[in-house]
Amino acid sequence: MRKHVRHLLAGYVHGTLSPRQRRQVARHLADCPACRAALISHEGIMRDLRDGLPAFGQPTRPQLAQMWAVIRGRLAQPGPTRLPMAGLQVLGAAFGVLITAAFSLSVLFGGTAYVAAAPPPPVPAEIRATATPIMTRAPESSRTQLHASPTAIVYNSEPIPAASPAPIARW
Amino acid sequence: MNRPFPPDETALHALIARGLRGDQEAFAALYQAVAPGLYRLAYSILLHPEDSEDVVQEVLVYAFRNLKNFDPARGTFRMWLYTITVSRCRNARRRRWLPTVALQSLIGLGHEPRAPESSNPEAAIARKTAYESLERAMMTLSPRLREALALRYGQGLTYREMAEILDCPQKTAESRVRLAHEALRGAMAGFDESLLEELGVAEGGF
Repeated sequence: MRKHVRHLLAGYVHGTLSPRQRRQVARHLADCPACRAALISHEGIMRDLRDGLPAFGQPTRPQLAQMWAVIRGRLAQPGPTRLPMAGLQVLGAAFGVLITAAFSLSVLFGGTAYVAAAPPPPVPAEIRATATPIMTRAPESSRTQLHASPTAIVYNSEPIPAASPAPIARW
Repeated sequence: MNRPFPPDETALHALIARGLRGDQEAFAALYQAVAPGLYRLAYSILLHPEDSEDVVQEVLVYAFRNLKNFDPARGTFRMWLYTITVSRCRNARRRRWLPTVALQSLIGLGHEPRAPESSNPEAAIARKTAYESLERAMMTLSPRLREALALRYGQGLTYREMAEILDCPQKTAESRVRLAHEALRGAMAGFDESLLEELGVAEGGF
């Protein structure tokens, strides 16, 4: 079945297709009346645009005269006041000096306030209590003391067998 | 492709130089040289006479006040003006949140399209009909596609120049013209069907 080239026709009439696409369209147009008809329609639109748009929205003489009167009037007024570039630079430098001075004074005479305003020092992260007790061996020196710890400490004088999924029998 | 905008960039540069020296007549001459083209561009994008007038006034007041900023090494004077015009048209569209098309022109009241004058009444009617068809067709397009058509066909720019003004890749400018063309063809589907019938082509082909 022939593959129509309608989607390429606008590009074809505007000359924006690649050479390979142009050849493909030309070959197809040679034996497809439907695409040839569509091409005629595209060419008609292009002709209308080319002939019609240069004259589209032509201003009238009174319009041009009125616009010029407005433009001349606005040009006669002083333009928007702007600080000259040199003035801006001076202003920026003065602002920078002020900020630096304020910072230095706050450090020299308001040290406490400055320290108070500083972020708090980092604290050790809390040890998260685990739901599952962890079996550990406590050191010999601390066997008689109980330590408050989020982890459970199990005292056992006997050696702990290797971890095993099977229950450990005690005799 | 014809270029309705005065192509003589050298003459424009001479006027600019006179304007920079404070010659008021140079501004009037510059206005006469560029204003019609700028208005056509603005109107083709906005489809609104008052907004287009505002845009042209804004553009030329800005340009005449900032003539010293125009650098011929970076592009032609008309390209500079077109770039400012397209930008101001986009601003005008943003300001007007409702349609970019005047209601009166949609319902056909008040504003009459300005078809070129002609001494032959029949030719004048034919031109007016063609003009109205073109205006209706332009109304069906998005502002971005109207920008592309206005620059390409209304001002006769190349795709490269369009890309510079629209601040987009050249391929995008080409695509916008192609999309506008296809949209217009879609709007004129009735015409296509009658053409196909006239040519005796079965419609199931596509």
